[in-house]
Amino acid sequence: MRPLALVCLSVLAVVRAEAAEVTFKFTDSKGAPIVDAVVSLVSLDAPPALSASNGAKLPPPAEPLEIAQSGQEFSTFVTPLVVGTTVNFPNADKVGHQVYSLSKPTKVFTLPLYKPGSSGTVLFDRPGVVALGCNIHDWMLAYVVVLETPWFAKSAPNGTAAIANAAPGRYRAEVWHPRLAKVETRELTLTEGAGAPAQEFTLLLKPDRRIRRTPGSSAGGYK
Amino acid sequence: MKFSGLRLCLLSPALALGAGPADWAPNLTTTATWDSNATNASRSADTIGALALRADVTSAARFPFGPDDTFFAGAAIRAEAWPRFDGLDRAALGPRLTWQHKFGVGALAPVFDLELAGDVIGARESARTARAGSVTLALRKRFDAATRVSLTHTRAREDARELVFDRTGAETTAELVRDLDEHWSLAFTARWREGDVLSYATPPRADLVALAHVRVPNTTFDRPFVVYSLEARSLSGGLAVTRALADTTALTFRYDWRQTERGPLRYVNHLVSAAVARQF
Repeated sequence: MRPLALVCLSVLAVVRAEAAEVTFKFTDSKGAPIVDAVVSLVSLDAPPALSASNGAKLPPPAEPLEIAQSGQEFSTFVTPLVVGTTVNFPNADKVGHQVYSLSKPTKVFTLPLYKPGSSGTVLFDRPGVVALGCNIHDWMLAYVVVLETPWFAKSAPNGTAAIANAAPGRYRAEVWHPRLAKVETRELTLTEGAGAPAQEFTLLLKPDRRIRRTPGSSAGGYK
Repeated sequence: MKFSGLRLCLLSPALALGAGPADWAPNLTTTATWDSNATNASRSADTIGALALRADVTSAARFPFGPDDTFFAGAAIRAEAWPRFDGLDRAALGPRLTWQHKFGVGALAPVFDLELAGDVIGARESARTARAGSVTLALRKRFDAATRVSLTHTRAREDARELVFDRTGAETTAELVRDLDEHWSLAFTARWREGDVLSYATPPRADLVALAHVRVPNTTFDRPFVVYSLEARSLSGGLAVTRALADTTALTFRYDWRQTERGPLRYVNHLVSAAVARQF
């Protein structure tokens, strides 16, 4: 049997074995919920086939994901996905956009400037965090988190996230957020049926240093 | 017909490359400025402070050329009202053509602009009606998400109906802008200008007569002044605080100190302004 088929089968076999659920709650130092935190589970005792770093590949989604541009912003601020996923960047705006990333070594690309109604496509084939921008509108910012695991979730505005399809076993939970200085990790064990106790994370976030979207004004010139 | 032909000439390179107008986003800036020395007078007896209200509307279409270059074609409308001295009221309308080159991709890449501007200026005092033109070179660079600088050099010429109101000059501006947080930012500006200035004074002023290349009697400020046109150097420094009211609206408070000198002539302007900028 071909290696890729073996990988797919082993993933399916693990997932089918009494999938367990684990929930997460993310708050900042003041207790406020944190949105857009990405939590992923890395298996500590599953077959190495689940890890792309060991030469295997996870099956990407059959359909491309979509990150649109609308109102001179990206439609989603943070998009987690698995290695090998293709993302479409449709321009649903009234103005042209030029989406790019300078995130070495994960993904460096520049789409040509395209008009409203057009789209560009990018394959994310290496794990890591990719910061997206628009070469026309400096304030436009979004992140793609490329993961090597099929078990991940993104926190909702109420700070909660849930991973429902992981197999029982030991995992390392990895938490990423755009304003987190470094990835936070925690080991946890999922048991059959019961999953794991709800995991609460208090994250120390850096100040939000995004480029501001504000029209300039000038006065005081010579008269 | 003439205009259509000119427009076609200007846009044909863009159209030939498959470019099209992707954006007409008008900007409106309304400003109220208190000028402590609207007469540009060197003697306190002739110094008159005045309020000026100004509205600027600019709009441009973008025509990209390849990955790094963009051509903008647009227009600007400006109206200026002086509630106390309406002889200074005027309005201007004219085209703006800009070539922009970005040195690379991303928010931190430096940007170079070359802008050609022309204006037809109407004024309440017909002697001040004019035609104006300018060339501006600008280099902008962002250092991080919160800090950016710009260096601008403008050469401008204004030919008025009456010779004394002609003004030609070259101005260089350096500006540093620092965002303090999500809403507030600070801007520091330094300007250096050499060119024609208008100084109003009660005659006789032998010192100004010796400097001025043109002078005429004038009552714009409700006094029997003589307006002297002379070449001078102006140095100014400014501090602005901007509060973002929304993604597309900002309120700016600004103070500028400006000193103008030519030989024994020396005067200072204190300019305090409040401006609302809105991008549609």
